[in-house]
Amino acid sequence: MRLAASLIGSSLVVLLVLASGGFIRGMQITLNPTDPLQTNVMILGVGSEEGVERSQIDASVEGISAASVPGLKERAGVIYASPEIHAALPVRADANSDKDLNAVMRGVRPVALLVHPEVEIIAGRPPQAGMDEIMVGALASTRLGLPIERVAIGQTLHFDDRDWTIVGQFSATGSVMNAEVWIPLTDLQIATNRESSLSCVVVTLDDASFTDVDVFAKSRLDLEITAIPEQEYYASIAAFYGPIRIMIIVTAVLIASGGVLGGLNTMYAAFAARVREVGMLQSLGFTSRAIVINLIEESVFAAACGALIGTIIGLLLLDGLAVRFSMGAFALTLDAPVVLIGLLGGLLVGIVGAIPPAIRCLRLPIPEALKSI
Amino acid sequence: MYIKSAVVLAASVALVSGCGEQSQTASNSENTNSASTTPVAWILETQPENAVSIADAKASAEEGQEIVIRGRIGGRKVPITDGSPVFTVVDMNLPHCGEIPGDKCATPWDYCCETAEDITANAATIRLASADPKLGGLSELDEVVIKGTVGPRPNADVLTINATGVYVVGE
Repeated sequence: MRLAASLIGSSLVVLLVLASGGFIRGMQITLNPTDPLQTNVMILGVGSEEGVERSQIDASVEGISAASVPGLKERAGVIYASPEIHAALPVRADANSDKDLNAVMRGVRPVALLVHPEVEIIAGRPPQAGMDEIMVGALASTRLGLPIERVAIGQTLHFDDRDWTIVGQFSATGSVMNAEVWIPLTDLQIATNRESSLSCVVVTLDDASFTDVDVFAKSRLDLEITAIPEQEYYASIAAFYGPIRIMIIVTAVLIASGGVLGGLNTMYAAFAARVREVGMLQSLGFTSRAIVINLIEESVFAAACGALIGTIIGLLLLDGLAVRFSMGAFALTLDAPVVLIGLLGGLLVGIVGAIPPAIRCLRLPIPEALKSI
Repeated sequence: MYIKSAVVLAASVALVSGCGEQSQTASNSENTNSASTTPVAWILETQPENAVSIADAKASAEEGQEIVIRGRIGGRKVPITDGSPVFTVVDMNLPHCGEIPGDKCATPWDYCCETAEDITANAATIRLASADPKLGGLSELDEVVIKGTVGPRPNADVLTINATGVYVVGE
């Protein structure tokens, strides 16, 4: 019974550590793309550095930037400059629904698939302009709060007074795009009444450096634009979520402390029942140190078993679980460092939970210990 | 006994010479540091005369013209970017957020309290010859007088000064 309590206590602590670690890691990966090959720079409106959704720049910036910044990546005559609109729009499951679902929409042209190579079409095809077609990310259903089958190819979503057919699904693992709905740029421009403006232009550098784009942005004061490395932009968004991360860590530590106290209680009860046995060992000549180590070993063994059970349950139930947040959605990520922290947390419960009761157990004089029932 | 004394003496000599090398390294390090803070060539010791406001310069300056303007570094959240030879300045007549009573803006140099049109009308771009403005110790909200020539002006909103010298007012 006590062994079961130790196992459950340790498993729960490990599960909690894995959940909070996976949450933090998932958000970190999504908002801090660290692919060294990704050399994208975002050109957006001055004063909108903290949120591209607020940015409005002239549609001509795409052409001017592509022509003015030498050294942008180019393939088969196509310059890697993607004009985009980012908008959070209320969509409905169908025309009769009265519930608004908050979708993160990105209006794009085909060049976006070159500029964002992490986006991979996993089913269907890209949407065509003027055909009321859209493409959804792998986590879009989580963001929309709809069952996954509701965003399958052939299904429709309703916004701007008409139905839009889902013709493609894409995956962009480890990126906020994974939860977005992509729509042809011109269609979104019409739907949002901003035919002559964009949210941003994302360019991919080749021979050019960030400085070249920065010089262009600062020199064209008339365009009211600024340049920011894409990685830096998402890092600033991640910094915004810093307090949430701290709150999660504090909560995890508090609950883990509860787990340790629970473990202490269990061990006190377990060791109290073995006072006589400990007294016998002492009278046979075993040193106090050897007995303490033995008791800790027992406790750590039970905790380790619980930690393994918790880790297996966590990997089965939590890994990849989609979580919604304001920027879209991300998947809980239980990678090696998170699993290691979880296992160490479980072992810590075993060690910290055993030492005080073991010492208390040894404080009793041997004659009294031998007489105890 | 003699051997022990010799060993102690040798160790002491080694220790003393080791300390000497360390001091030398420290001294070199200090020299390197002091070299990096040496004023750069484009920082002017004396203030250029006949400086005009940015708004006036925008109204009349032509490409290739020698000009002296006065302004304050700012106009966007990051007016000076690491490694970039370009920075932006705003006319002294346009108050920055820090000059507005009660404004708690964390980045007053971005002039977020002003309209985008006002910022555009009162801002200019300063381009140094492949130099990092931060090497000259320039930072946001510094009042500067810039001497240089007017760069290409594709429209009235664009004023780029190819700077030959920058004087920091109040230093």
